[in-house]
Amino acid sequence: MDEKHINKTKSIPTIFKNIEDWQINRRKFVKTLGVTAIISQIGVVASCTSQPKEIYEANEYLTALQTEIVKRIQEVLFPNDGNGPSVNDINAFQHFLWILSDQRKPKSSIEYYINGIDWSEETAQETYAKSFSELNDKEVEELVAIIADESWGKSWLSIMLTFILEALALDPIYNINTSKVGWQWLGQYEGTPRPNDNITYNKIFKTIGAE
Amino acid sequence: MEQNKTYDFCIVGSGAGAGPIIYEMSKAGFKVLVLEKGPWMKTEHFAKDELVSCRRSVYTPNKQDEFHVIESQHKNGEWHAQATRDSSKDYWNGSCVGGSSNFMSAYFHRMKPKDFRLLSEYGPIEGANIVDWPVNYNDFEPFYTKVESVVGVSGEVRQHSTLEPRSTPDYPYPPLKTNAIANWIDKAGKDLGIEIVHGARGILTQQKNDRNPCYHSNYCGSYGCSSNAKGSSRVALINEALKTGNCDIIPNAKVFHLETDGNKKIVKAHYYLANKKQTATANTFVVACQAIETSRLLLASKNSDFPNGLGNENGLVGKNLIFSGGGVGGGNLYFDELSAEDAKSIKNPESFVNRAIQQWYEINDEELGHLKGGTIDFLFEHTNPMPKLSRQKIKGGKLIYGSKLKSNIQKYFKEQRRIKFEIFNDWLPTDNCFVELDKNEVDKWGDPVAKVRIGYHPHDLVVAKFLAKKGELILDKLGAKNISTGVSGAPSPNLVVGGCRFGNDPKTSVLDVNCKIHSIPNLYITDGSFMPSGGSVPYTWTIYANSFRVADHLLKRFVNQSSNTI
Repeated sequence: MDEKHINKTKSIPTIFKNIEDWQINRRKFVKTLGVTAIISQIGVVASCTSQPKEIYEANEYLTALQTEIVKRIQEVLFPNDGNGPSVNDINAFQHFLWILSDQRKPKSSIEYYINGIDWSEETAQETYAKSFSELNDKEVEELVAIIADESWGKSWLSIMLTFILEALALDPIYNINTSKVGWQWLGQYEGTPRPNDNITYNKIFKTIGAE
Repeated sequence: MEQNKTYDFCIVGSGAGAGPIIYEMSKAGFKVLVLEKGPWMKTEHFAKDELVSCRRSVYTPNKQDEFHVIESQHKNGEWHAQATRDSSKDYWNGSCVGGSSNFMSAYFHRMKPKDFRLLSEYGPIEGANIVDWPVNYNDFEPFYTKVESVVGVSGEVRQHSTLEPRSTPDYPYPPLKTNAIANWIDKAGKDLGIEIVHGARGILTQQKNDRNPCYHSNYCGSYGCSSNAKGSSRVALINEALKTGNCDIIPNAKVFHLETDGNKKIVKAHYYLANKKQTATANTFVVACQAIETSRLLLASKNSDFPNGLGNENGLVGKNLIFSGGGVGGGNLYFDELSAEDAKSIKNPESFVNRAIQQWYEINDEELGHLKGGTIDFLFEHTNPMPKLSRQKIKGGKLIYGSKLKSNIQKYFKEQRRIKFEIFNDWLPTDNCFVELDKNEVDKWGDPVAKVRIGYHPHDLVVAKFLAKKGELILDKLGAKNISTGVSGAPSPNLVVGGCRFGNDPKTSVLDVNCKIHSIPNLYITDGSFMPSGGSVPYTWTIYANSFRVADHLLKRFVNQSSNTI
């Protein structure tokens, strides 16, 4: 862990400060009924505990530790609990890397996504006096609940969750929602025409002469 | 195209306010140049791709490059400015050939005769700058009708208490097929004694030239149309103009300055193309960049002729900006509370509802008195999944995740369908809703961005809340559960007009009755900027109609000259 990361102030970029507004505008108002305690969700995550320990590797955007943190937090946020696809089924981690590679995203946003990973490590050390990589699955679940109660954590986890939901529900042409597994689980009506290679987000700006 | 050519008309923008001018002038034989700041997306570039259409800035500028500064009022009364670059807000609506009309839902309502006489009919309201329009409904009616046939409006005229006078008995295209919920709403209205209006849409139901009828993709609003059924300016008007050979379009051309000749006549449009400065010359200029950007361009074009900006001698450019008052409501129709047959009916992916209430377009209430009301439009929650998914992850201010989230998601998608309504009522013009140039922030070219103050009048909320209660009655009768409404003064950025109101008096208006700037002989504004008030309906049809009205004036002004050269 890079010390300069650990010592950063946990400031939320303005764009993410009001996470409810970020997702729901006036015309998408919804009345909420009751409060569900986050802690009640702990313990319902199943199946991963007996798996052989995965080896996490660094990539172009993340260190091995950062990779592990993202993947294990994704598994808590959207667990493989027998109800619908898992984060692996929808390629959620690769989707996150693709987002990190998006040069049209503000640099401050990308930095915040990375900072949140590092702050998760910092919180692990503060809470358990050990690195995230040494936490067992139960401790990771507890850590996510702790982070969710932090203002930065709620914001960051919400964003991470949004990216998982994108991997669940956007077009498989983006190497997510593999074999339409997300759409099938949701019973989602598929619109036509679907995008072709020339008009995906990666290509459309060139196709229409906008870059 | 000829870069050094002097065109008859140079039109800045290509959306609903520009399309009728482009169409009519090209067809009349005038040479027309269109400068559009966005790219030229063709029909084949559109797909039902939620990432491109809704989740990323593809049809709108990247906010890191181009943004607005929004000034909103805190609870303590102080105004706070924030750049949209640094917030979740986005005041762009579609930067491409055809503008945001490519992405509209195309709910088409005419304004009603009393909307043109808002002050005379309903009287003044303290703090609101209400005026009558300088024209009346009868002046607009022929152009509403023209939009029906040229742009293409589908529906069925049924007599009701607030039906506008019409010069034709019915719409030229039959109504769209609707979900069974439409019949349920009809019945609910009948049972409650509430008059249900069958709404029209700017969407074709039959072939029109090379435009195909709607194929019911069920991904309509926010998405480009793949059959050309939706009456966008690009498909319905610009494509036709191009066939004349008289129309040139330069996409990705961002106009930043209109130059005058020292005698208050516009001679050149200065624009950026591939980051290089270019100019276009024409005899007559038309600006239709959507309300905020139109005011910005006029204010940014100040010079010795117009030291405060074009047409801004009285400080009125950018003033009296209008969004749409209103709000939204909704409720869940749970399949297990319906018969198997009914559940199957509303599970049908068909998403069009096309039902509205206009019974309280004018309110006569014991408590509230006699006042202007509005429209309640019913619709299903949009088909695309992300908004529905995102809604599940925050409840009561807490983040929901894990198995609880997955369970909630599955229930939401599998066990119910959400029926909604949207309210449209007047956003009263006030001194706290306007556009100016920001003194600090600049866009990627170094030009001042528009700063928009978004204050609202509390009267708008009174009306919206009244209407929301009526909408809730229908939802309740339908058997919807968890009925909720949201009414606030937060504007919907996709419904924005005003800023250059038209009128007879140059001291109180920017534009004359023909939407020409009073003090400039050859500059017209034909987007929604002209509107002194917005009526209580979505604006697109009125913007189209007005642009056809101005085109009619231009034809009368210029076509009878000895040649087509102005």
